[in-house]
Amino acid sequence: MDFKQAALLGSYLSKDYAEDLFRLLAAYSSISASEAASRLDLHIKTVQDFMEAMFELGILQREEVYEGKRPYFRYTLSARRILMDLDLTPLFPLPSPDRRIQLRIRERKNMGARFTTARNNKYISGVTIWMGEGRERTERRLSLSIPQGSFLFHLPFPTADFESVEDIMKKAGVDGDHASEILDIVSALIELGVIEIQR
Amino acid sequence: MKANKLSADRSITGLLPAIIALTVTVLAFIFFGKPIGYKILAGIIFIYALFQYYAFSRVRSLAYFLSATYILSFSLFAFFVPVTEHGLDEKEFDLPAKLLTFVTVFLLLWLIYLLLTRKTKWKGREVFELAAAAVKEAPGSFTERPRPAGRISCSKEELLAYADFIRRNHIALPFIEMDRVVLVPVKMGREFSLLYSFRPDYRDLSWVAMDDHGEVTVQISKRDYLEYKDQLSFDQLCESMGNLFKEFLEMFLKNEGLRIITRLDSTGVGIFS
Repeated sequence: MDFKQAALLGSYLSKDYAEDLFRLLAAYSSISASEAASRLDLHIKTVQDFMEAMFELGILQREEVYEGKRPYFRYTLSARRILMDLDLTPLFPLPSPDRRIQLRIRERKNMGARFTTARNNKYISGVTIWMGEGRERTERRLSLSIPQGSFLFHLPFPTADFESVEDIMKKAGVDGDHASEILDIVSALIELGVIEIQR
Repeated sequence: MKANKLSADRSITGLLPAIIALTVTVLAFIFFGKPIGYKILAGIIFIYALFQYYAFSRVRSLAYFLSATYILSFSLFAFFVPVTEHGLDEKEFDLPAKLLTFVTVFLLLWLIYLLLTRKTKWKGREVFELAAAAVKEAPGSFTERPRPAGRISCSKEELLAYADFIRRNHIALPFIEMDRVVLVPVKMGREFSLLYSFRPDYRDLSWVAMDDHGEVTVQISKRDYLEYKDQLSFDQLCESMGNLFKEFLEMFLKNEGLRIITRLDSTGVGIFS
């Protein structure tokens, strides 16, 4: 099961009517969305969406039937057990050396980002960025892990020389095990325009 | 070296206590007469003396002790001296009144001497001038975060002794924390919030921190940065500030504290700035 399927399954299983619908599906050899909706006093669209999602996930089977009117689907429960097996491996960074660690970066000029330092002033605990203008202006606050905060504490100032991510990590005393989380925050801050890369 | 990086200091904050005391006294003279006016003046100045002794407990410098004692002496003089509706009645001065007059005038002259020799002034402005001396312009370089500024090598005792020296000579006000010493350069007229509040907070001010591992960190506040006439390179400025305090530490450890004062005094900053 990939992340999208797991999210779809999770969101439908969390509905308060999910158990009742499964009970109906277990009791009937096949049931239409309209029958289930009337039985549980739900809107037909709600039940239709649920049934279709379960069909997509392979938990239900469906059969198109014609009874003198418009064709419709009848659903049958095809599993007695739902197993959610979510593989997170693809989300882990590749073990091969990441070239992004060689990127030479520094804080961008006039970004107006606010860096909040931790109480002991030895690392940055959060970055606040304001986006948009006027009434549309919104605030985005990123809370940082301690390695990320130590890294940003050593980020070169806007007019200082660019330094590579690797060198900044060394200065900050952040070891390679944290490289992926450092690269993640660097990517996020590049996207938000807080950090610039040497071209 | 002549001071020229900072914009002129036109703040009257330092004169506010005197202006308040004078205004209240004049009003008291007008509405209640001179004898009561002197008593009110004595009361106000007595409160100032308490504040000044509190400040002395934090700074522990001769100038603050003399200043507090002078203010106390002046308040006692104003309270006990014989006053008629025409003013001071010098013929009626008894021995305590004469003694208080002598002590007050003596302390005042001593304070004037200290003022002229720059021993009463906070030297934060000089610190900022020296830090900026070799810094070039770089518009848009300001950022509101501290900057690591290298390392020092000294023992905790030496660091504490240095902090004490810095404080007694009105260069910066130290905050001694668990694992570091934070030095906050104080400009004239900006000392009140740090000296007279029970829980002074330096976090939004400019500071230089030296921790037990020898790491030096510098923060320069936006307010202090904007007081420079030019848009100086913020990175260089922070580095220079850190280097300045490291250099001062080296001089202090070599028993050359006097040279630190000479360097600060050579910036040409006025005695009231």
